[in-house]
Amino acid sequence: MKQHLSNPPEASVQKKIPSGKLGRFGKRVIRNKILLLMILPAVIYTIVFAYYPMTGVVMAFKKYNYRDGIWGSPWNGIENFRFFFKSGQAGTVIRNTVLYNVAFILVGTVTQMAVAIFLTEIRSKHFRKISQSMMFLPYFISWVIVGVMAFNIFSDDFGFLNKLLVAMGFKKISFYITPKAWPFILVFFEMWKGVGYGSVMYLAAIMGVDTSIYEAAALDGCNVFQRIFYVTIPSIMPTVIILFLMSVGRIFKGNFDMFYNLVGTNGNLFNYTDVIDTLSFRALISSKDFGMSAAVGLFQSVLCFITVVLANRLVKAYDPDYALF
Amino acid sequence: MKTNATKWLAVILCICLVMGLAAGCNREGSGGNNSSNNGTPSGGGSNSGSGSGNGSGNEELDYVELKMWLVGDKPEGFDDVYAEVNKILKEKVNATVKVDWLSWADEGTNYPLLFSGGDDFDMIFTASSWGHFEQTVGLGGFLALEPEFIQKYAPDVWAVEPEAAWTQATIDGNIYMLPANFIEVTPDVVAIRGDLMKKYGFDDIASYDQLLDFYKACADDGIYGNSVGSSSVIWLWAESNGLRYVSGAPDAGVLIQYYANDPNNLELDYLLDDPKFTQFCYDMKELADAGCWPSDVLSTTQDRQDGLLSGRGASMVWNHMTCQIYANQANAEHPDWDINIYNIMPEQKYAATKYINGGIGINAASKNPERAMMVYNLFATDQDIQDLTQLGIKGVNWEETDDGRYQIIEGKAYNTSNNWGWRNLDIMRTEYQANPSAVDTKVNELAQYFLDNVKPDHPLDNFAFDTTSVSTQFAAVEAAMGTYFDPLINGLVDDVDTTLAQFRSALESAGIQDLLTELQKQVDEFVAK
Repeated sequence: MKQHLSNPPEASVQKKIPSGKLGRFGKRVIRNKILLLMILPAVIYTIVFAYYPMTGVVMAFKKYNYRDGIWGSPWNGIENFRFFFKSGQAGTVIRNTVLYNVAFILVGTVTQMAVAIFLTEIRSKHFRKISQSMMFLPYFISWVIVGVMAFNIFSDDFGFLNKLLVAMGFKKISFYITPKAWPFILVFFEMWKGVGYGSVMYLAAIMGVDTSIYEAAALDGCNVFQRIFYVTIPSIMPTVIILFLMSVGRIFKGNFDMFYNLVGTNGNLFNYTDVIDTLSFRALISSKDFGMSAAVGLFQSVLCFITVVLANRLVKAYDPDYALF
Repeated sequence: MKTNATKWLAVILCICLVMGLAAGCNREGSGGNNSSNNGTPSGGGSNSGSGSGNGSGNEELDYVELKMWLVGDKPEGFDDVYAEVNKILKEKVNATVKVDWLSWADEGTNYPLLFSGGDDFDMIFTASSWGHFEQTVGLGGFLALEPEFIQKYAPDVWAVEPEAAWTQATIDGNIYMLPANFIEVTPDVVAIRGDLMKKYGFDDIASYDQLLDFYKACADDGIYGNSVGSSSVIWLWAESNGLRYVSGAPDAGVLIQYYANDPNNLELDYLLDDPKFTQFCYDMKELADAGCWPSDVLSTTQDRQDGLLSGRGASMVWNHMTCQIYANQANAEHPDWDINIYNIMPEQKYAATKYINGGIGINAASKNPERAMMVYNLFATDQDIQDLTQLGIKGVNWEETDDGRYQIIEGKAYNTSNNWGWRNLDIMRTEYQANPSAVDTKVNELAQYFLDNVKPDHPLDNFAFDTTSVSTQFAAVEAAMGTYFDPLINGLVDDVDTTLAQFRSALESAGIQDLLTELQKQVDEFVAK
C-alpha cells in the first residue's frame, strides 16, 4: 500500500511540464484537482465545526460579559483556571475521571471484542441477528432513563435488588450511601449501554479478514480457540489500536450525562464518582461564569492532547504501522 | 477490487458533498428567513422610536411584534388566552407579543444562552436569585431603566409600584427590572397526617422540637416522618431561628444568614461558626439513624409531596398554598388520613417576599425597548389582561361573582403559569370558594395570620451580594459545598464532627474567608448608605 503511493507516477509526468510560474505546489494542485475537490467538503466541515469554534477558547482567558461579547470582554489572565484548583477537589476528580476512563477503555475493549468474536462464531444467522439487535438496543436509551432505572434497582424501598435481598432473608444494602459500590455500578451500566454499539466496529474488522487465511488455518488443523487467538485477534489489532487511541483522546473528559444522571447531587458518593465535568457543572451552574467553564474545558482538552500524543508515540515505538499519525 | 473501492469512495464523498451543500442551503435559507423577519420589526422599531421621540402623545405607532421569554412550562389553553391578550395590545398600543417558554428542565442553562447567543427578544421573566436577575445584570444582559424612561413609557406602573420595589430592583445605582407589584407572606408550614398524630398522642404540632419528636414517633412506627429528607427541614430550622439567607449568592448563600427578624442586629451568621447549626447537624443525624427518611434521599427523584400522597411519609414541608393543594388531594383520596396544615413557628414574625421575586427585564439588545415598556405597562395595570393571564378567559375558565371575586368554572380551570412578572395585587381578584374544606379554612386563617404578623423591615432585606470580585472563590466554594453540605444536613454522614471539620477546611482552602470579608465590606457600605 505504502509502496504504491510513494512510487510516483508523477515523476514521469513532472518532466513533461516545464517549471513555470506555478511552481511545484501549484502544479501538484492542478494535477490532483479532482482528488482535492473530493476532500474539500471534509476540509470545510472540519474548519467550520472544529477549527472555527476553537477560537472560542479565548474565553478561558477573559472576564466574559454579554455586552462586550467574546472578543470585546476584558482579559483575565489565568484567573479563570484558579477556582478549579482552589476547590480542593481537583485531585479527586482528576483521579476519578482518568480511572473511570481507563476502566471503560479496558473493560470496554475486551467485552466488545469478545462479543464481536462470539457473534461471528455463531452459526445460526437468526440467533446472531437477534442477539446483536438486543445488545444494540440499550445504546438508544438516554442516560436520563438509565438513571431512573438505576434508582429503581438500587433504592432502599422500591429497589428491585433490595426487595430481592429482603425476600431471600438478607439485610438491605443502602447503595446510595455506599460509595464503594459505585465504580462497579457505573462500569456495568457503561458496558451494558455501549457493548452493542462498540462491537460493530470489531465485527466489521473481522468481516474484513481474508477468508483464505481461515481456510489455510482449517487445513492446518486449527481448533476454534487457535483460530480466534492466532488469526482473528492479530488481524483486527490495527482496528483495536485505532479505537484505543481515539478513546485515549477523551481520557480527561468525564461522560457528564452518565455521571450526572446516575449520581446526581448525592454528595455522599462524590469521593468515588465525581468527575471533572460534574464538579465544574456544580461550581458554575449558579454563577454562570462562561470564562471559568471555558477554562475547565480547555484544561481538559490540553491534557487529552498531551496524552494522545504520548500514547501515539508509544504505539509508534511498538509498531509504526499501527500509529494514528 | 481496487477500482471498486475507489468507486465507492467517490460515491460516498459525493453523497457527503451533496448533503453538505443541502445542509448549507438549509441553514442559509432559515437564516435568511430569520433576518428578513427581524428586518421588519427593527425597521418599525426605529420609526416608532423617532416617532415617540417627536412627542410622547403621538398616536401613530407602527405595528411591532415583541418577543417575550417566560420561564416555566406552557400551560394548556395558553394560546387562546394570549390571542385575547394580543387583541387588547394591538388595539391599545398597536403591538403584539410572541411568547416563548424556557422549560423548567433546562432553563438554568438556556437562560444565559439567550443573551450570549444573541437571541432577538425584548422582554424576559426574571427574579432575584432563582430567576437569574443578579447574574444577568452582572453580565450586562438587562437594559438599565432610567426613572424618566419608566415614567414616560410605563407611567401607570410607575404610579402603582411602591418605592421599595424600585429600591430592590436597583443594582449599582441603576434599575434593571420591572418588578411585579406583588408580595406574599409564605413561610414554610407542614402538612401532617392527623390520624398518625392521634395515634402517637400529639394534639397539636406547634414548634420545631415537637415536629422532630413527631418524626421520631413515625420512625418508631415504621413510617417515614419526611420521606424526602431534611433538605426542606433546614428552612424550617432557619425560619424558626429568625434567620434568612443573604440574597445574590445562590446555593452557597445558604451558608451565610442574617437575623432578619431583628432590625438592629446587622451581624452575619456564618453557619459553620454557629453552634446552633452544629446542633442541627447532630439532630438530623439522630433522625436519619432512627429512620425518619430513607438513606437514598440524596438521589431520589421524588418531589416533596410524593411521600405524603403515596402514604410512605407522614408529612411534607412547603408553603401553605402548595401544602393546601396536596393536603386536599390526599384527603380526597384517603379521607381517614385527616391531613391538615400546621404552623410550627407561631411566635415568629414572617418575612414577606420581595417585589423582585418576580418581574420583567428588558433585553439590553432589544430593538424596541420603548414599546416593550408600553406593553408591560398594560400587562401590569390593565384589568382585562391581569384577569386573562391570571385566570384565563372569562366565561370559559371562570365567572365573576357579584362582589368582583372569581369562581372557577368546574373542571375548566386555566392552570396559569408564570404570570409572575406582572402580577398586581391592587387589581388581582380573589377566589370565591363555595365549599371550603377543613384545610381551606385553616389555610385562610394562616394566610391572614401571616399577613398580620409580617416582620419589621431589616436593612439587609434589600441587600444583594455582588460576587463578581470574588468569582473564583465563589465557584470554588460552590464546588466544595456539594460534597459535604447535603449529606450533613440530611444526617447521612458517619460522624458529624469529622465531616464538619472536613467541610470547614475545604471551604477555607476554597476561599470562604475572602467571600466573607467581601460580603462584610459590601454590607457595611450598603448599611452606611
